[in-house]
Amino acid sequence: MSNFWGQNNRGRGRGRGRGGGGGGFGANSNDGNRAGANPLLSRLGNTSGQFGDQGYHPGGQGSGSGSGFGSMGPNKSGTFIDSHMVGNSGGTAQVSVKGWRGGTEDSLLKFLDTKLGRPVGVMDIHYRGEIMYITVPSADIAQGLLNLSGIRFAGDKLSFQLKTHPVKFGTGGGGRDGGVSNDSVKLKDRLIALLQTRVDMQSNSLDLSMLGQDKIIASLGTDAQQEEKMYKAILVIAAQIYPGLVTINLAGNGLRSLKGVADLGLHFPSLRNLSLMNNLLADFSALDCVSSMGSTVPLKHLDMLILAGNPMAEAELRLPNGGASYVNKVQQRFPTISMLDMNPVVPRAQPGAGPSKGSGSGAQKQLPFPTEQLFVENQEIGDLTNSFLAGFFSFYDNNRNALADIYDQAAQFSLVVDTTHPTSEFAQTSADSQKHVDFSVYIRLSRNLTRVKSPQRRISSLIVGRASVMQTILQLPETSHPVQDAQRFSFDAWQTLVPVAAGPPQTVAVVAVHGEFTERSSQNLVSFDRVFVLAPAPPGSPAAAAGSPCIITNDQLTIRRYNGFYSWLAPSASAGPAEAPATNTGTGTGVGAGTGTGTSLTAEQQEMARALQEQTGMNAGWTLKCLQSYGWNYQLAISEFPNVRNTLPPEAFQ
Amino acid sequence: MSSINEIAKQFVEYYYQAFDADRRNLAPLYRPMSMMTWENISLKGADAIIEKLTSLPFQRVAHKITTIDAQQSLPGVNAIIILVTGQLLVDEETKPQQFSQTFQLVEDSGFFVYNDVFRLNYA
Repeated sequence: MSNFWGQNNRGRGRGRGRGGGGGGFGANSNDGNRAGANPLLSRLGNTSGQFGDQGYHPGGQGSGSGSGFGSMGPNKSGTFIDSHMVGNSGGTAQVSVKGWRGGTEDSLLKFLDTKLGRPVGVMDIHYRGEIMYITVPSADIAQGLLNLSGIRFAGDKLSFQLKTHPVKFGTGGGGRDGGVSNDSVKLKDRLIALLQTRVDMQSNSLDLSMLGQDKIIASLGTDAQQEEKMYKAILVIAAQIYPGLVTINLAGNGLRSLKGVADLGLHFPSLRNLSLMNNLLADFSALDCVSSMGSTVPLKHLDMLILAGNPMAEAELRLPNGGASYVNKVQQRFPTISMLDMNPVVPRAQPGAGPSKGSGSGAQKQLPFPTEQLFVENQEIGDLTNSFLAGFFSFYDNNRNALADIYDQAAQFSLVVDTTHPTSEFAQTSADSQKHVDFSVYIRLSRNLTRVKSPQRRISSLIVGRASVMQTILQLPETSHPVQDAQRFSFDAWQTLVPVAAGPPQTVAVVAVHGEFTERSSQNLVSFDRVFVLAPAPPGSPAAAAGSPCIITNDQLTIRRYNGFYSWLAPSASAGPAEAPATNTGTGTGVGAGTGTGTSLTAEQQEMARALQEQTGMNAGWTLKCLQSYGWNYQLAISEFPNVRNTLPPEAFQ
Repeated sequence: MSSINEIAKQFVEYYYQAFDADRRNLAPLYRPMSMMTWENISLKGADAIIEKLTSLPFQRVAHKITTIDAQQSLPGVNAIIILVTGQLLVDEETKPQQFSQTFQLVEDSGFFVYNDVFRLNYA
């Protein structure tokens, strides 16, 4: 039988040579949650109940660990916030605000201005415990605020109350909060003093490094829990006195999170240089809150960034080819930087631009956060998935009967129809999305658990066993999946170790793929999501004989009205068709890796190509040319690139 | 078998209700070995996952579930793979966006989320 699965049989038997793992694909890999020491493996066998205490009861545990998500104890009230001392007068109204502590005073007031649709014009702010009391110019505005009760702000719900008997706040020593006000005035003075010793007005830079050793900070006796608030307060005050800062140094502060400085972009829109050197940031996601990935006011003009000396940078750089993936992970968050850790990098976006996603793809999408085409845990599983999908869809379209070899004896299949009308701009103008598509043949099989209520029907609609699965899928309309066009597919793949009664644990792969097919008879375009659970094909099995690296134990198919593939296209791909930002971008083959030029590239070469392409912005073809001309010496290619850049034609970057 | 469907449906309904009310409420559903991918970002452990979810750049979000499908998944373990599709609406947006999310629940003194793959697809 001819091998539809392409060249890639690497999955089988791979474990033998590496660490004696099971025969599965990628069993040697040690990242992710299927590492050998997985606690899951030693604690299986417990059978009872659903969602035990740890699993199903919110509020039981798990809310505020580490550097906190905005939960503040009642004893940590507004100490760090500036109190304006303005008296009440006629016509004004006092409103209490609860639930705002996830954000800063500043961000709250801006938020309220926006939500009210006009300036709130706050005349006075006081605090008592967790409650903020604001005085506004008119009862009208107060009413407007009351109407906002329940609105979400910084992870919490705000509640407003009109104080018909305004709470009086003394100006020192008198009222219950007098001491607090005094403290906060003193605190503000100290922080101003701190800033004055650390600012350089000529260069518009502020040195906030090693605050732990600062006498002024030491005199405040700040404990670790208050640190986040201290940073917020410092930034608020700094923004008031030095709004034009372009450089901020936060090195050596033991920061585990950037929550305290999450408003950097809000306060310092022109910030160009930021050092976070020698802190304790353990994961790249810690950067999200100041980047376009997690902030609505990211650092849009950031040019130089220093992250050296953080665990996440060091860990990444220790990985094979970690230099490229390190730069990649940072640039995903800060596409405008041209220097990282004092090394030049090629910026991905112009300063001031929004997230790089928006720039290339025109008006196609308006997403609340960036999307990406695919995630694979590592190169091996990426290869395996490419190979599997290309083979599977090729069989599914052209020789569905042959899939009997690929489904496990006990395989399960289910089909669900999502009849939602797509709302994307693409769908509004696409004839394929607007067209009436008859899903009745699928709906008969659909086991959407939100609709199918009868337990019997829920069970009977799940197709179990190879023979039944085959019988079912052979009834489905004939299809054509455009596997040669990688950009039309998005997939995620990961792997998991599961215990086996006798012998080493087995590796399984879970693949979630999103894409489209054409129904041959109707020529309708249909979008789908499909999840596979794959196990290694046992040696000598029909699957192995057919050249498939794996067998399918689970297959879940959801079909939807056509909605295109623009949401996961990266800007480079939408600018020039056929450049898939896949793991093996360098080959430009994506899903069809088994049939394209990828066959001649090793995994290492593909990784080099991907990294070089990201570094230089060259297209796949020129990236390959470049690497070939430097004899696949990545370091040489990247170091020579600036010298040859001007000699390259514009199309090299298209 | 029916219990798998019940568990999946209960889980999904609970998950999005908790997500929409306060993302921090999701912490008890994850454990240190839980893994999430959010678009192409990979996160491991309840802390990292919740931190990511709470730092998403919107204040309010409402999920509407359109479809749920569930199958018993891993051999030798009590595990469920769940494929969800639906729509979500953030902040003041009026146009819902389509997403799909794949969960793998594993039972170990109660079910927890072992794998979680979110995709804002077809948006």
